[in-house]
Parts: sequence; C-alpha cells; structure tokens
Amino acid sequence: MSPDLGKCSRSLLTCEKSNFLNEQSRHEVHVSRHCFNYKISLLLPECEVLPVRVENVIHNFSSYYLVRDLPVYKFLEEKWLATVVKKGSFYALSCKTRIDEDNVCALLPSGQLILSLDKDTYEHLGLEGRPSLYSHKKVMRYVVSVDLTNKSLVPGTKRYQQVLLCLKERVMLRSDFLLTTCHPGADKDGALHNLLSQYTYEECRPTLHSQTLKNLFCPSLHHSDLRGKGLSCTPNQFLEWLGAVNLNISCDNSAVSFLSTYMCPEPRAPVSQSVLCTVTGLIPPKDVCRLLKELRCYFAEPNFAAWVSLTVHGFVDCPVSWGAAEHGFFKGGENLYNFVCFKNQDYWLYKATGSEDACPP
Amino acid sequence: MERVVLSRIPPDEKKLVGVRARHGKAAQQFTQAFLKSSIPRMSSDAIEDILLHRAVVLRYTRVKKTRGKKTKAKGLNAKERRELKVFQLKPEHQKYELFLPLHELWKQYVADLCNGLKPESNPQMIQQKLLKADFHGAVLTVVRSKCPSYVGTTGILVQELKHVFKIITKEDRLKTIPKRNSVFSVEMGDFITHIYGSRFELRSSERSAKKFKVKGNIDL
Amino acid sequence: MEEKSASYERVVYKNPSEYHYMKIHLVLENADTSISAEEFKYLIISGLKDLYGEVGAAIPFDVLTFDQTALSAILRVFNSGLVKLWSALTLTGSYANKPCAFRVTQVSPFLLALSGNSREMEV
Repeated sequence: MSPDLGKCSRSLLTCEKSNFLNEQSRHEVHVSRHCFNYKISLLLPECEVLPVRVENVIHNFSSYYLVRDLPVYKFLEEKWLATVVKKGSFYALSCKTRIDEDNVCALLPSGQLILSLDKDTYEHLGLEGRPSLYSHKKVMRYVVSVDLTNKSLVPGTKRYQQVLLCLKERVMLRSDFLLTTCHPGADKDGALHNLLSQYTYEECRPTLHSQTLKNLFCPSLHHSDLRGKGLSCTPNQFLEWLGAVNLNISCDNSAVSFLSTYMCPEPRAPVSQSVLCTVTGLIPPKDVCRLLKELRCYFAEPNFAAWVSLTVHGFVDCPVSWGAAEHGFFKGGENLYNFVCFKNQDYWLYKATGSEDACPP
Repeated sequence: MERVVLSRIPPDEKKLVGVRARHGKAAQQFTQAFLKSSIPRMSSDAIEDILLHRAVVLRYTRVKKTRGKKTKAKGLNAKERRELKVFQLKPEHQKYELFLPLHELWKQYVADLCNGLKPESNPQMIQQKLLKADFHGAVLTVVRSKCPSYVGTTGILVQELKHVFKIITKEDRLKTIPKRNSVFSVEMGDFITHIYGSRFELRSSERSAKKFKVKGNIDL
Repeated sequence: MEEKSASYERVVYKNPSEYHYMKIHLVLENADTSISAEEFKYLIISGLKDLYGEVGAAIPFDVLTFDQTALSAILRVFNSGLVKLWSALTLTGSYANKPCAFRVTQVSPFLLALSGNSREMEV
C-alpha cells in the first residue's frame, strides 16, 4: 500500500488562555471578527434548566431574512448602499451554494463584497480578482473582493458603472441570501423590508433547542491548566468530548467493546444534570458577544458549576472565516471556536479550522 | 615556341653546354628513335599523339552572361516595414467612424459568403464558411478571457495578426488583444458566433488553408 | 482554590487530532431492511477486508453512534486509516447480496464540527 494513504490534510487548533477582566483580552475582537455564525451550542453543567436571563438574551437575538433569488448587483444600488451597506453591521451570505462547487457571495459588515467564483464564471465576469490560496497547479477558483465603501465606488463613477455592468449584464449572479442587520430595532422604518419587498423573503428567528442531560460524566477542568498537564484533559480531548455530548454519543463504553471504545477523558466527575442548548440561524457576532457577557454573569449567582462552555460554529460554505481571511472547503469547511468560562473570569478560547483555512488569529 | 626549339644553338653555348646539336631531319629521326627505345610499349602513333601540344588557356576567363536582375516589385523587408510603420495605424486615422464603411463592407461580404444569412440557414454551414472568412471589419467583443480586463472590450477589427487582433473601439482607441486565452463573439445580423482565440492563432491568409479539427478542448 | 487570574497563554496545534470523524449513512435498495449496529460495523469491516485484505480488516475504528431508522452513523478512525476506510466505504456495494451504498456526509478532524454542519440547514 502506498504510504501516502496514511496522510491527512492539515488542520489547526489554537488555544488561548486569558481573563475577561484583563484589559488586553481580545475575546470581543475574536468574536466580532467571525462574521457568519451558523450555530451556537451552550453547555452548562450542574444546571437544571436554562437560566432565564440567558434565555432572554437568546430570545432577543436579531432576526434574519431569507431572500430568494436575489441578484448580487442589488447590493450596489444606491438605495441599498445608503440604507444598509454604508451603515455597517449588515451581513449577507448566499445560502445553498457550496464553496467547493458553486459561486459563493458574502457581504461583510465592513462593506466588503466577497465573491468566490469558479473559473468559468470568473472568466466571463471580467472583474479583477485573485486566484484562491488553496488552488493547485490549475487554478479552478478565484476570489473577487470589492470594497463597497470605497470612494471609487460612489454611484456615478466609472469604476462603479463597470462593476455594476459586470454583475448585472455580463454574469447575472443571483442566489438565495441570508441577511441580517444586527442593530436591535435598527429596522424600525422598515427600510430593509422596502428593499426586499420585490422579492420573496421571509423573516426567520434563530431556533432555540434546549435539553437537560442527566448523569453525565464531565471532564474536570482547572483554569490554569490549558494544555492538559494533569489537572485537565488535553484541549483536543475536551473538544472531542464536547462533540460527543452535542451529538449524543455514549461516553461509557468499555475498552473491549466491539462497536466503540470511546470514553470520557480523565480526570472526570459525574454530573447529575446539565443543560445543553443550541441556537441555529444566521447569528451576528454582536449577539454572540451579548450571550458571552451574560454567561460571565452566570457565575455571580451561587452554583456548583466550575465552568461553562460556549461553542460557535461558522458556516462551512462561507468565503471568509475570521476577518477577511479566505476560507475553503476540502473535506469539511470547519471553522469554529469555543469559549470555556471559569468562575474567576478566566477563559479558554479554542479556535479550530480545517485544511483550507488560514491560522485563526 | 617551336621556333625557339628549332633554332640553332649558338656555337659558343654549344661549347659551353657540351651538346651536339642536330637539325632538321636528323633531329627528328633521333627523337623518334629515342622515344621508341625509351617507351617500347607504345606505338609510334600513340607517341605522336602525346607529343601533340594542345593549347591550354591560362589567364583568361569567359565573360559571364549577366543574368538580367529580376525586376521583382521592389518590396520592403521586415526591418524597413517596421521602421516605416507601414502596418501601423496613424493616430489621426484611429477613428471609429473611419472604419464604419469597412464594417458595412464586411457585412455585405459575409452576407454574400453565407448566401444571404437567412434565419433558416444551417448554423454549422455558416460556421464552416466563417472559419475561412476574413474578419477585417467585423465587430468583435471579448466575452471571456483569462485576463478580466479584456472582457467586454468591443470594436471593429482593423488588423489581424498571427497572435493578436487589433480592434478600434467606439471611444476611438486602438486596442491590441491577444488571441490566446480569450473568446470573442462576432455578431452578424441575427447570428452570433464565438471565436475561441486559442484555436485561432494563425494569420488570416494561413487560416483559409488550414483544416480545423471538429473536436477539441475549448477550455481557456 | 487560589483565585489568581491567569496570565495570557497561547498554543497552536497543527493536526491536533489523531482521529478523523465521518458522518455516513447507508442506502439500501429495500428500505425496510433492519440492520443492527453490530451488523453495520461488520459490513464495513468486510468491505475493508475485500479491498485491503486481512491487514485492512484490522484497521481499528469506532462506531460512535448508529441510528437504526436512518441507517446513519458516526465513525471515528485514526488519521492513518482514514483514506483506507473511506475507499472501502466507497467500494462497498452489496449487503446480504442486495445492492447498497455508503454516502459520506461529512468528514472532519473535529468531532465538534460534525454537530454544526451548515449544509444541513433547512431553509
């Protein structure tokens, strides 16, 4: 057998340890730079029901809109630029488009329009771009990035006309979009509704799902031992266990079991009940920040929990992961991060990416 | 020469050299006898033949016939053409309107070539004709290119070279566009045909004789 | 317990996981066929054996979950065995003399990533 059969594409995991009260702590930066979040999963050990305050925060998450068949050039129209794009905090991501086979489009809150295009579309479109970082000898994917807030893209300029022409006449890029503006109550005047009125769209709420897990073995973590040198398990074991809990995988197999030998990592302790809560939708980073803040307050009330965990999954088909760093899909476009918050306001931050992704910040 | 040989040797020289001179018949007989005894294998006729002296012309060449220099049309060589910029459009002639008549002419030409370009005519037949056709004067548009900035350029083809098309745009700009890695569209009335530039890298004169393959990779 | 706040620390792991996780499901011609988790694992092992022989059949992997109604499962395999397991799954073509096929839905070095696949989003 070829020795190459044993090789795997690279994946990266960064682990950080810091304190929320530390002035230099960059937890909010990390959260806000991860723009497109698909799913949040919250694990509260030693907890019977989801605390009301946390639930309230989740219920106040911003709605998102699903628009069918929206042409990309609409984002460039004056009305759109003025009402949503220039104001910032507007997120748009094409959905049901796969980044390894289709054209994917994303609009970042910074006003950057990012198009990840296959070779044929790129050649027809006529907008300057660069080859994808993760292409092989023959480039099959290009990334075009247009800064909509740039001065040269003011309506009426030559560049503006050219971009509009490309997206409107040469190749009419269109797809279903997920949109959100994350100001609470920013859409009072219904500007976005107005813009969307000529398309079929629906307003969606992030779906909350919560369950109580009984008699679970939880790994014991000590806030000082990030690397897992005895007081905690290793970061990788912990993430594996979190995944097992999320996927409802049994953790009490024997080492000789035929089916599975997976066991909860050591050191561990039995926990009578814990709450696992997931929120799915297009969740803007600001909402994640608010949830994180609320979790920090969670320890203010007396409880037995030593730690709580907050996992955020990004969209696998998003053209960016953190900031504007290019994101691709090789075997799975994983880009996720996980906060483990401790009683003393220490936190661990894990960030994981797959093979077609830059190292997380 | 003969005279010198036959002349009598002056007596004082005779004494000096120490030879006995013979003359006339005696000398001839002596020579014949001498030769016969020296070359006994040859007949006397053959010997006679050898002795016949022939004239060898030295220091004289025949005047070569000067072939009248072919009075070919005195063309320019490539260097001169380059220097004189014969095939370059002068800036003052780079006007789109100037080429509109050429375009009209080309439209007529294509219509003639394809028997009137009727909607019911067979597109494949037309394409076969167009492969051999001259495109000077056609309106070309780059519809697809590896280099995005060429995409969308449109204008009248004014010059076709082996590797590039030179077209003049509506803004009176002369643009040189490489054929390789681009796809061009040509509009003729209701017909639109695409030229895959990478397959078209020939001079238009050579193209009329070239046999195109039916199948082929049309990827850029 | 000392409540001293921790200093900043950052570690980057390259290829942190020694395992890869696969979410797969089995497509059978006859949807009513019931199959137990043990039979399911045995089917995969026999697929490995057909393709890579006895050595292949000895590649260790775990069936972490198995859903009997959807015939879907999550497998855990060492990185070194991933390609072999995957190829064996692809080439497995029959179960109990009936045609069948494995569909690989998601593969990741992080089990956590399998719980949040945005391609499953229903909109």
